[in-house]
Formats: sequence, C-alpha cells, structure tokens
Amino acid sequence: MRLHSANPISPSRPALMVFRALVLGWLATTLGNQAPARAGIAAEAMAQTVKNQRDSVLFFGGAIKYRCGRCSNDHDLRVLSSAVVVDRSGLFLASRLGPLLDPKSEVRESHLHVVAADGVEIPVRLTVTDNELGVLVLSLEQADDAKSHVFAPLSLDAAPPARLLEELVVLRRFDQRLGYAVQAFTIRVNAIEERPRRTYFSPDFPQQELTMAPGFNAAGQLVGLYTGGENLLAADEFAELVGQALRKQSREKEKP
Amino acid sequence: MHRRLTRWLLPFCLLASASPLPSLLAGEPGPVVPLNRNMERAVDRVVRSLVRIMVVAESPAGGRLEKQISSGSGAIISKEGHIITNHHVAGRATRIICRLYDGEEVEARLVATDPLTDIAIVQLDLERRKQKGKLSIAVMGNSDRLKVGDAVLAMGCPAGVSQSVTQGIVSNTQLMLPGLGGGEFREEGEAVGSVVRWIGHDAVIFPGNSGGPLVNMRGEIVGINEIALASLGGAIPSNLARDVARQLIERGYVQRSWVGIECQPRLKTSGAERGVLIGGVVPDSPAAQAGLQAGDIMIEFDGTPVDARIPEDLPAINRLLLATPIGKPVKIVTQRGGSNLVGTVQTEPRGRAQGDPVELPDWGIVGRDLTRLAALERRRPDTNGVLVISLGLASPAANAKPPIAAGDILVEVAGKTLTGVQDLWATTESTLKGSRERRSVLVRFDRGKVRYATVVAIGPDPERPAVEPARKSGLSAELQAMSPELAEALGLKGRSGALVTLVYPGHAAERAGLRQGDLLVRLDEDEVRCQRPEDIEDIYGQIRRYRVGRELPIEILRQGTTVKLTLKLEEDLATAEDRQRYRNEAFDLTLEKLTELDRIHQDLPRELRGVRIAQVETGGWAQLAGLRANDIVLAIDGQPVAEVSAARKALEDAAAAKAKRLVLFVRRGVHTSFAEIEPAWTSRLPAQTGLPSPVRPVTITTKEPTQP
Repeated sequence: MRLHSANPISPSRPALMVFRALVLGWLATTLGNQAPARAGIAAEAMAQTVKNQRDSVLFFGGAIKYRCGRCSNDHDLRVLSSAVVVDRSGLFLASRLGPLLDPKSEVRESHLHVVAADGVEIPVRLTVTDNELGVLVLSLEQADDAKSHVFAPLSLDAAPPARLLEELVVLRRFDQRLGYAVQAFTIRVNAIEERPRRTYFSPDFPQQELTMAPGFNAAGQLVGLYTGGENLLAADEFAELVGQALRKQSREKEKP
Repeated sequence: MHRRLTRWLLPFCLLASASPLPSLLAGEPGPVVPLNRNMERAVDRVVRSLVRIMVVAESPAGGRLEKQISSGSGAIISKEGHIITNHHVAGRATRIICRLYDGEEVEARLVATDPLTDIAIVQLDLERRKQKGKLSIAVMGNSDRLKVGDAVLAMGCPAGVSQSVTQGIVSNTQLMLPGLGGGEFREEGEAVGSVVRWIGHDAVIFPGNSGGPLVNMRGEIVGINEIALASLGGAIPSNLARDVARQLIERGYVQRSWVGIECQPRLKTSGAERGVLIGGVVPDSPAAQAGLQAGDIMIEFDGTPVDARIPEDLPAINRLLLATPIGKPVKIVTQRGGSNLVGTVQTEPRGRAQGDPVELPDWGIVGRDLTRLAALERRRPDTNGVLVISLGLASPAANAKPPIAAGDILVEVAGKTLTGVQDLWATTESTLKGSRERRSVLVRFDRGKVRYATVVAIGPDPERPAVEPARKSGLSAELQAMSPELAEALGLKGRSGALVTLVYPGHAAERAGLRQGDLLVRLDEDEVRCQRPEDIEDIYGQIRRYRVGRELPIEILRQGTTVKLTLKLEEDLATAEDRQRYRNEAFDLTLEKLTELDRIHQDLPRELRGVRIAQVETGGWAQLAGLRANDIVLAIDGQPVAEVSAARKALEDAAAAKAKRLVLFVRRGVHTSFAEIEPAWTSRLPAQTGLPSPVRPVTITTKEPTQP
C-alpha cells in the first residue's frame, strides 16, 4: 500500500502546517517502506484517477446523539469519516456508524456536515440507513446548497468486475488537521465472493476503519465501495439504495 | 450513590454474630443483662424507624442530567417525618420513595443536604401516607462516649433489601481513610475527610447501607454509616450528624464561616511542640488581610489552643474554624521565626464549594454557578459566569466555531454579562421566545486566562424527516442452518439445506406453500449450502438483492419428497411498516405501533389492539410504575388504545391536566396487569441557587452529649 497524492495544503497557522507535513511525510515513508513498489497500476494512471475522482470523495464529520435499542440514556458519537457523492442534487453515501447498525437505534440529534470540493462545510442529515450494506445515505440539510456547490457524483451502475489479484486505487479524505487532503492508496484483490453480493477482499485496507472509500481500476472506472472491514462491495450493489433515497427525497420535496 | 462504598468495598466477610460478646456494657451503670436481651431491646428501639430510600438522582453526562436509580438507608428522627441519611444517598435526588418498616411506600422530598459532612435530610410526605399511625422515631445518642470494643449494630437496607441488622464492635473511634490525607474524599467538591473522623466498626455493611444508623446497645444512633474499607465500616459520629441535621432542618443549610487559611499537621522537621501548620493562605481572604502567611504555626484560634501533630488531629480544628460565628472578630495567635504574633481576623460566610448542576437543553450543556470558593480556585475576580461542566458532542455549544468545551466559563451572551445559571436561563428564554427555530447568539467565554468569542446556534434540534431503513425483499419465513450432525440426526445425511423454523402466517411464504419443518434445498436454481449459523445471513442477503414482486423458484424437501414452489417476494416485514414512534417526555416513555412482526414473534392474537412500549427512561415515572420495554399497552385510564395516536392523545391529555394518577393496562408475555403511574408535576426551571429560606424548627429526639 502506498500513499500517492494529497491536496495542496492551504496555508494557515505555521504549527498546523508543520504538523501536516510531518504526518504526511511519516505516512509516505512508513507506508512506502511497508509495501515496496510492485507491478500494478502505473503511477501516471493512478495520478490521473486521483485527479479525475477526487471531487467525488468528501470529508464527512460532525456528531450525533443517539439512543440504542436497549439503552436508557442517550449517547454521543463523533464522526470523522469520508463520504462519496452519488447524486448531483447532494446525495452522499457514508459508511455505517457502528451504533446505528442496531435497527432500534434512534438518532436524537445530529450535527453533520460534508466538506465540499471547494472546502466549504455543508450541513447534511441522515436520510436512509442500510444495515445490510453497512451504509448511510446523507442528504443536504438545505436543498439550496446544491445550487451553490458542484457535486461530482460517482456512477454506480454497470460497475466493471475486478479480477483476482487486480490492483485498485482507493481514495478517501483526511480530516481538517490535514487540510481534508485526499488520501490515495492501492489494494490488491485477493479474494472474490459472489454471494450474497459481489465482494472483493483485500488485507491492504488500513486498520479496518469504518469509512467510505471508492476503489477504481487501472482505467479509472469505479469498481466498488469500501465500507469497513476488509472488503469492497461492488458499486452496483448500491444502486437500488440510492434510487430509494432519491425517491424519498422527491416525496419530501412534494410535501408542503 | 454507592460509588464511594463500592470503591472501598473489598470482598466482604460475614460476621460470626451468634457468639455472645462478654462485658458488652463494661463501664455502663445498671444491672448486667444477657447479651441477647440487650441486643433485642436495642434492635427494637431503632428498627421500626429504619427506612429504605429509593432515589432517582441526576448526574451530568454528555451535556444532560442523566437519571439513575439507586437505594440507600435512613432513620426517622422527628415526628414530622424527617429522615437522616447520607448526602451521597439523597443529596442529588429528584425523586425519593421511602419504604417504611411496615412495608408502606411513601413519597419524600429532599429538605436540605450538606456535602461537606455527607449528611442529608429528607422528609416523608405524611399527607400521602396511608397508615396514619404514629411514626417510630429513633433516638440520637452520644458518639463521644464510644470506645474501641463497644458492641454496635449496623442497621439498614443493604443492596436494597428490606430492613436488616448486622452486629460488630467499634474498631476505631478516629478512622481516617489511608492515602486520602483527610482531604481527597470529595462530595460536590467538598473534602468530607477534612471535618469527619469516622467511627470504624466491623459490623457487615454493603452498598445500600449508606445513610443507615450505627446503633449502640442502648438502642441509640451513634453514627451514620457512610463508607466501607474492606471489612471495616465507617460511620459519621452522631454528635456531628445531629448538629448538621438540626441546622439542615431549621435553616436549610449549615452555617459555616471562613477566614481563608489551610491547615496541615506540623512538619516532622518543625521545632514547634504544639500548634498547627498554616499550609496556605487564600489571597485576599481575611487571614491574608490580617498578615497571616503560609509557614506560620497557629497555636490559638479564638481563645482555643489548637494542635495538629498527625492528620487525625485536623478534622476537629477544621470544625472549630468552620463553626465560629460569621462576622466575629477572632484573635489568632501564631508563631513565626520563634516569635509569637497576635492578629485579629473577621470571619466571613464560607458558602459552598460549587453550585448545583443545571441542564440547559437549548445549549446542550450542563452548567453551574461559580461559588466564591470555586471562583477563588480558578483565580477569578468574581463569581460572574457559568461554568460548563458537561456538554454533548452533538450539542449546539460543542458545534459552535470555535467550540465550547467542558471547563469553559460562559461570561457573556448576546452582549449581556452573565451573573450565573439563572441569568443564562433567562437570556436563553428571552432569545428564543418559545421558538422552535434555532437562533444564533454571540457568546464570549473564558478558557483559563484567554477570552474567546464564538457564535452558538441555540435552541431545540430542528425537526427533520425520520431516518428510514432501506426497503428490501424478505422471505417472510425464518431459517436455521443444518449442520452435518443435525442432518444425520434428522435422517438427511449428506443433504444440505436450511430448515424452515417459522412461516409468517398470511404472508408470501405461506401463500407459496412453505411450511415449518421443510428443508429449503434450492433457491433460484442454486443449491442452498447452509451448515453454519452465519450462512443463514447469506441466504437472507441473497433474497434482499431481488426486487419486491419477483417470482422466485424454490425447492424444498418435505418428508422425503422434493417439492417445487414459487415464492412471490414481498417487502421484508422488519422494514415494511412505519414504526410510528412517539416519545412522551412527561411520562418518560416511548411508544411504537404494534407491528406485524411483533404479533408473529409474540404470538399475539390478531384481534389484540395496543401499542408497544419501545423504551422507558431510567428513573422516569413509567419505570417507577414498573413498566418495561416491550410491554404492550392495551388501555390508558380504562380507554382502549389501539393506535399510537390514541395513546399519544391520552398521555398528552393527562399531562395537560397534570393528572395525579394514570392507570395503564398492559400485557407482558401471556400475563396482563395494571400499572399505576403517579407523577409529581414540577417545573423544569432551575431552582434558585441562593440559600433556601428557613423552615420551622423541629425536635430531634436525642440524648445530648452531656447526659449520662
């Protein structure tokens, strides 16, 4: 796994810049040493994929107050994650937030946002949860935000299948401490499961984080979405869910 | 409540209470009587005044005051129904229910509390008492007369059981907690060990004994059980407890004075042969103004010689200092550099270490007033401001930019300087004016010496459309993996498949002809391989991929015969129905529509109408009435509730009318029962944090220290 690219860090406080530089440097050195160069996607193609797809991957953060099914008190959860744009109107997919996997969990309050490609924090809310896929669908708190920001959606339909041992480029976002930089790394598919859903396994995912991260092939096509654990779920598996969320969004718009 | 006890309690051992104790009343006048008669008489004099106290208390967590239920012990000490207990039992109570010796449960209120000595007074609501007989009142004895070896009885309700008695001896008359230096056992910021030397004893106590009396063989209260250290219990001496109790009842607080000196035992290297070392002098305090300095040896305070060689000597000196009348000019004699110095200081009211926590839901914080002592600790010039002690991650305060954090002091809101919590509450009300919309306000807050400005969007969380679960296809039946061993036992050796364990009546699987006990062997032409429990999820997952309405070919094995069926998929019942959730804040419960899946799993008759209790709040009225999650409410006050809307109307009507009682008819499993909710309607506004007004004097039955 190698670190390839990051957003230019916007100049702010010197100490923060030094911190960012140190962390990025450390990551590049450490990860580079762990996974020496191997045959796979050419660096140039990878850089092009990062350039083409970076605006589809956003930082997703904030906090929620929730009540799990068996709890008698509310709990707070800090969110520091990534989300992907799946519709121009401002619809996003994010990875599951552990406690919300309990279908009886109830979100009491939320302060959530994505950071758009232009660096602006945009408030979002939870709209649909899918426990089976382990994802949340987010929509804009204010629909008008879709007019003032450009959202570049990923195309989930007709995802090309990945092959065993194929190398993929995976993207996600750092948090504000690293200027919301795009983090890119490669994984190698070492197992494929067809049932119940097409799933690609790789031990190269870092620390089994619960974050949303799309994986692209050498041609820069979206193959699947990483949602946690060690697997990447084929991208077209999410299409039905997004359709459902769009229908819900339409119904809400129609309400007076 | 049991935090202290639990912290100190090591595995307890049972006392050998059957063996007689010789010379039990050594030194006591009067004829020697057999031990058991003495004990019987002592128990008899106190046990009827014992009370089990069930408390709903609130403590700050995540920006709110979370309710907790716990229980402790106490003893009735006045005919007006005053009960003495520990502050850590009832001092933070919002609701108190006392169970008397005769088993009757009576509501009580917190009269006043004193964290510094860990004593609280609650009072029974005698109006609501059904048994109108005389209360049995315990007598307070003289703790100064206790000696090591005296027999004592610990009475109380350990672990919330009914009134119980254990026996032991006094092990130590000046117990201090090791390692705590007499100043680290804190309640509400007050160092309990600075004024209390406990009576150590080996009568078995357990969490729940807190606040219960320690009784001598004459049936007098000589201590209030408070702590446990391995097998050793510690009780607050009754002479101290009685004085505090009297002040709490008569004044509503304990009057204490302060001069601003901090005492410690003389150093080992000190050449002084008497006196107490002044370890510190609070800047700008009366002592500082009088010229006292850290390092001085105080040998006399207000005409009384003082001497502290070891930590055990300090509580008495601290009590002397605190008990001096407020405003009194006090002569202090000190030694400095071999010379005696005489100065006069005027005592001032001491006040509390910290204010009460108050929840401010529109900010998502819990804050408290800065008392004088708290302001001094933080080197602040005055007590203005609100100290943030807890806030939720998803709260308006935590999501301001820059965010407010615990420990910050809010000093100004919307251009108005804050004097305290009441002020913040009023400013919030006047800003929001009852609006459900959030309003942004400019806030200035201090973090240490740094003053920040931020904008906080205060107000309730905006109402948003509900978060929906993803809609998927379902099997409308439930399956079990069939291991090779199970297959062999069922006479199906070598076969693979999933056993049908439940078919939802009236749904797709039943219509397709699937039955309980069938073995599902093919699904959409694919062989079903399902040997491990986790394989079941793969089958459900496969079905969820198909669209609702698809006709799915399946193959089953039934009594050795292969049967082909076609299953027209319908939406998974778990997500098919809107849950129609409703939360009632007044009665502290959440209701949900009774879904088809609830009916199937609980085998409820189709004609049964009701709503399911999804959650009950800890310490809420619903929980106190014995209601539980998954109970099904069939009727409220005699009116059937078939839908959530009907239940909502009944609860909201009752809340609007401030109903004294609400009777719910509920079903739990196959049983039905009635639950009686008895709310006490109180305002959510914070109480005034000033000193409460005095109440009329009462008589505490006592044997004064001077009596023989």
